Amino acid sequence: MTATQTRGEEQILPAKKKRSRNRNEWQLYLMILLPAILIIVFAYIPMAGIRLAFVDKFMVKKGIWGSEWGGLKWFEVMFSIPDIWRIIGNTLWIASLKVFIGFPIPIIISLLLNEVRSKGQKSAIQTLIYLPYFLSWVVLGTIIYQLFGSQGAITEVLKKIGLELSIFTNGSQFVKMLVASDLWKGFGFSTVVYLASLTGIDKGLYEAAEIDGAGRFKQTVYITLPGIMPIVMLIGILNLGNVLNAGFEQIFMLYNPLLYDRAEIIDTFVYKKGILENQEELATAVGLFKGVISAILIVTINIVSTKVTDYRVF
Amino acid sequence: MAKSLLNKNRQTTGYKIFSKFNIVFLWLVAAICVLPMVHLFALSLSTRHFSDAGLVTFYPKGLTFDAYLYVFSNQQFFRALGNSIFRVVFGVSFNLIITVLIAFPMSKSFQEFSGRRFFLGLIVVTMFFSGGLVPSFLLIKNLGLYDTLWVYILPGVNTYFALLTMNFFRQLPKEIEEAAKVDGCDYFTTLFYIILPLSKPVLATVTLYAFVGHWNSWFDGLLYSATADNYPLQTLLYNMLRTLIASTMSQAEALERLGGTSVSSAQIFITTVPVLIAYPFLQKYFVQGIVLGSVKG
Repeated sequence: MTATQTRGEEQILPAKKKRSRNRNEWQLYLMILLPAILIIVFAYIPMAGIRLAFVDKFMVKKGIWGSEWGGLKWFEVMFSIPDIWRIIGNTLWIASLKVFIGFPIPIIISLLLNEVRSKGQKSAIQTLIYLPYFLSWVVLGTIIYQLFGSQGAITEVLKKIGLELSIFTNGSQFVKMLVASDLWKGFGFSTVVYLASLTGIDKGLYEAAEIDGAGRFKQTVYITLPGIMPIVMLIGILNLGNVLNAGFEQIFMLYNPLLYDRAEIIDTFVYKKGILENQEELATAVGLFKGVISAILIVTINIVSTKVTDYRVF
Repeated sequence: MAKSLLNKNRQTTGYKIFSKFNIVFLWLVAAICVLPMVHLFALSLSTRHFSDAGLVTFYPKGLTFDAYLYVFSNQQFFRALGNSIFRVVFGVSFNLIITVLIAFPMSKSFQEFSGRRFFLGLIVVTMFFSGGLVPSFLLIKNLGLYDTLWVYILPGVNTYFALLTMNFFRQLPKEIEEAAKVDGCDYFTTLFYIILPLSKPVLATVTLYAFVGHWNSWFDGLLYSATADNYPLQTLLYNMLRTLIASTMSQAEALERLGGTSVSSAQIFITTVPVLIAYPFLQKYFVQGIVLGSVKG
């Protein structure tokens, strides 16, 4: 059949549609053209900039592509820096703490909130707990400093009980603060999401369980938890993939040289070397190293989770 | 919840006790989330005498608006505020336009849009891998975006928004578009007059996410600006915080330079106001956004 058929007939004979349906396909390409250009410019061109990690010596005049190739030189340099393993260790430690502590807490709180009978109170509490999520680290960092700094309000109170806080000078205390404040900032968000997901669980299941004699606790374990598993897995997977990130903004905001031994992470190191000390080659090499490991991690987690739980992110 | 539990006689004593502790505990948790802001607000409305001495808890002492007046008379603050507003207005609009332009073609099937797989791959790869800080920085400099306000807007292609919106579009009933085609609409017309009006929920979600993202963003301001003139508000505040934390002067001196605890509190509080105003809307659309995003078509 030719394209001269009327529209109505085209609708009845779907097999013939392809040619005329795509008549306007160019419009779709046009729409996506601008975003595609932007993506290529701002995401892919920097990817090509990875070459900088393999450059012998970066000369601004010659640019990334003009400077001479140096092979794996900077990777050798990177691993010969005495601090590098400590930095990697810090990154993994801080990130793991955040992931493993931050994972169960929202689940627990959402289960507890689920038991609140009064809708008004439930809603009010929800609204309050994710306020910190929407505040920037600049705001939260200042609050933390004002409350827990050497002359902070809470620090003073604790002094009276005999507890000396030295969060901004003691590396180990600093890390604890990082994890706690990150949890404080983020738990509300996950909690509210899990709660929303909880409402989707079939009520009949609970009634059936009660008839079978299951107490509230058993009901929670056998009905509620499996019910929110999908979304918990989704969020868990997304967080695990982030594990090398460890919270750059938060740490960069709050740390100082006294805390470097425990709080310097890969990203802050990259910033220091690359932007402040103009060691672009080294910084790019370190960043690349992290990026590759992250990518491998994310892909692995996705593959494993697909096989184990039947659930995929994409 | 099982209806029978609403009948208090059916609850075990253990459960009743648990319920009471539960509610107290949860309110405590909620309080911890809110009290710091209340404290901040109280500080900002107190006179210096009280706030610098650490005497203010949750309500203002010596009620005064001096701190706010001081803040608003500060030129640098005003300029940074203007930068942030510019950024939010243009940045969010830009985000919305770009997001829709990607999501609409991508929501079509491969038969209809042959580029779908290619562009999907293009997008997904960027989610796993990026060039890193230094190459991005060099690119921005080479593009002449360094130390301009456009650096906050142009690089803002957000693939999460795009995928979220794409999934939303895919869940719209196909009959609507088919009907539009029968009526002679091309893709542009269909997009503007039919799809977009139906997409208010996801557009609201993206707007809110983008708004909060732009408003709270401070690192790119630090990285890509040569002077404080182009700082967004949060970057200015970052400088202020760093003066407190990492400078060589004592905390007292630093505070003095910044105008005292009340002033710094006022500055911070002003920064949170837009978020607080948008707050009632945020709950509804944020949760919707995640739930939408997790239902993969």
